[in-house]
Amino acid sequence: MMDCSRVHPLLSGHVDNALSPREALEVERHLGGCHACASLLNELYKSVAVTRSAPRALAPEGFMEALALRLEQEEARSRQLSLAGLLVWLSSRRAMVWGAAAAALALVALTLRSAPPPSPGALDAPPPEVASVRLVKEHHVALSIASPLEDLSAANLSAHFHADAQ
Amino acid sequence: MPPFQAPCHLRALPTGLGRVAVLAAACWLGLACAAPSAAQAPRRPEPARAERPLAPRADAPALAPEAARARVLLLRYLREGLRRPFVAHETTRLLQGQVRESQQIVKQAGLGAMRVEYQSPPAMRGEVLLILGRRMLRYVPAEGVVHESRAPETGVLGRAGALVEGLRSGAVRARVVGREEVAGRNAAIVEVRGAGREGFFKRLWIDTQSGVRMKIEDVDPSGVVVSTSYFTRIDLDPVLDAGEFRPGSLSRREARPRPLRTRPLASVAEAQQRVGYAIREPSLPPGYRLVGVWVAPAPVGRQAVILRYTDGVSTFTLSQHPAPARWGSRGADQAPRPRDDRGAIRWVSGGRVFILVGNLSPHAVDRIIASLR
Amino acid sequence: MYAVADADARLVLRCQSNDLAAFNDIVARYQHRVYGYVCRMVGHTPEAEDLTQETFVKAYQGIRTFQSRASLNTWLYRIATNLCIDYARRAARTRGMTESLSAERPGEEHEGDLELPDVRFDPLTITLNHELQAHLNEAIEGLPQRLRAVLLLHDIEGLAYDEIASAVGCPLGTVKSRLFHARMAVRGRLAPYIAAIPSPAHAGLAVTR
Repeated sequence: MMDCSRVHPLLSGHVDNALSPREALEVERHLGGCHACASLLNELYKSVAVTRSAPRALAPEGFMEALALRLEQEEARSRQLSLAGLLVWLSSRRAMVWGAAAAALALVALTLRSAPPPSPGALDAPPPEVASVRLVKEHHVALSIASPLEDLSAANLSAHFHADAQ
Repeated sequence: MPPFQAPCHLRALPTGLGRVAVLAAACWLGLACAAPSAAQAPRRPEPARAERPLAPRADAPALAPEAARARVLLLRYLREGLRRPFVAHETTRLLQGQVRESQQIVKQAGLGAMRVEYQSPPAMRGEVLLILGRRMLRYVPAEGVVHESRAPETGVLGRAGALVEGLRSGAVRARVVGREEVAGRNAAIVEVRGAGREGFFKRLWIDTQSGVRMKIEDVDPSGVVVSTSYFTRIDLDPVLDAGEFRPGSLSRREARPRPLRTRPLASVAEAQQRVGYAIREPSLPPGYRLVGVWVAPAPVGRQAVILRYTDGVSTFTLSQHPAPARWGSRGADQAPRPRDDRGAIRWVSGGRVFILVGNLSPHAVDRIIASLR
Repeated sequence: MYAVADADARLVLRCQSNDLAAFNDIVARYQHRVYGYVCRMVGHTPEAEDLTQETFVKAYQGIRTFQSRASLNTWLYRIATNLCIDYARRAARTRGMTESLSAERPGEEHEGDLELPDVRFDPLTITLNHELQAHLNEAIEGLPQRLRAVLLLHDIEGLAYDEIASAVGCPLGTVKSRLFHARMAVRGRLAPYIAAIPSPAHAGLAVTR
């Protein structure tokens, strides 16, 4: 029969039902004759249950909006950084020919980066000009929620018709 | 100690409005901790009134009867109409340019709890708007998506308070201009005008008995109605399914919050710091003021700055963002296109894309565009 | 479970074909989980929101090259874990320098952020009173970061052993032993209350993963 010091580490796996059949058998055999380990197992069950029912914090209101802003800033920064890195590198080069070649390459890379190929779904999406008008209309509707003098139905109906704003 | 103590800015409503209305507003707004029975509270002694800092000036003009009546009706709408449970069939028409119409069922369960189910036009059929306090969930069946927005300023209580304050200060003027039966209910027609003398105004049909708003019109300065929504049928105090007023009632595959910060920024300067470009501010039509500044990601280019203005009754929203450099010639100036159904106008000026949404006279729009060059 | 993984994989594919609306959906789906985890790792501080943002910024930057060998879920937890451990290390260094300058505010919590208990393990619903809750928080906060991460990922976030191994970057055996030690520490802290907690039906707890 296993001794207690070897059984203890397995008790955690027992709680999770994650022991191999052989380990499980040995632990069961040990528990049958060892009151201390059986009691420890019971305590582990309870304490794990308490941990599992702990309340969970929710992301603060506006988290996604704040993140969207940060992503935009990061994008802008990384664009500036790649340009700055290129300039530093260029200024340290003696051979301007290489520099010019690299600049051309980097320009191509930058252009590619700032204008990603359209995704398959983008063909169905409205052009960005229309999308931005639509977005501002939606903001306008949102800003009218809960206003007793606003005709929300009219604002919402209008937000649907954006094709003429192209 | 009087049993009812209204906050002092409410106590200082012009005398013409009458004590009942003051009490009604205070009760409704829930600012005082008094129970509704406060309306029957004994009169408090008058003399202290003149010494209060917010008391009306002695030379303030007395209110005409139709104006006093309009205030009572508006307060009834704010106090009772916005709370009264109902189910109504509503028709909405946009009358500028090509006429658009929608029909929807509007259900109100209580203050800030409204559900709008669209039946037509075909493109909107099945769409549901669910308004829960400051939240609005818009379920679009074609996309299988729920768009979520939030009123970023204040909830309905704050808006109602601002309206009461506007009436008190005289920035908002209201008068009863007639009576009409709407969907079988007797309604008084209340015309509400903001501080902008040449601006658009509104007409509200308020059920004199329940306070429910039966109809609303947006009217341009020359008196032409540009949009309207009206009930064709209404059941007061119906049995409503509480489950329909839970976000989970909207069948959906996914939720997609709209990228607008929930709180407005403190100032244009703060927005400027965030976006890193100089924000251009328009010259405003008379009576208008800035009520909020937001920063939101634009579909293209850098983040947009959104400015919201009001004259106390009408509002307009102005968005701007730099034209992306990769646009090349598309970033050059573009004249404003004719406004669409509800005054959405887009133009490009000096490498900046502007979008204006809201009810403004052509003259006011021209001035704004000229001032942003 | 598989449906979730499939939906995640589809979102990742959409992101990789430049459909960034899909990234929005990933954030919508995981923001609460990541934030809740980060809060337990570093406490309810403004930094928790920053670190959660940082997690998604890194995910955004890396999603184009993300190989779906690991699940999206595990990958996000890995990024968050590394950021939290780095942060805790930096904070410990700074604390050493500034301890004398600023008063510590131990155990400060924003109760408004807390939601109802997670009811995934409903059969043995245990009503946590505030005292027990406070002891649990202290027990978790008292754990070294590496033990804490494993405990949270398993017992609160519900990851499997092999997913945790991938998220914290250690062998499977290490995950098991860290989990054991972390649980023993929590049990020690809760000992005075344990007798009062009704015995759970073992079968209800033993979740097959």
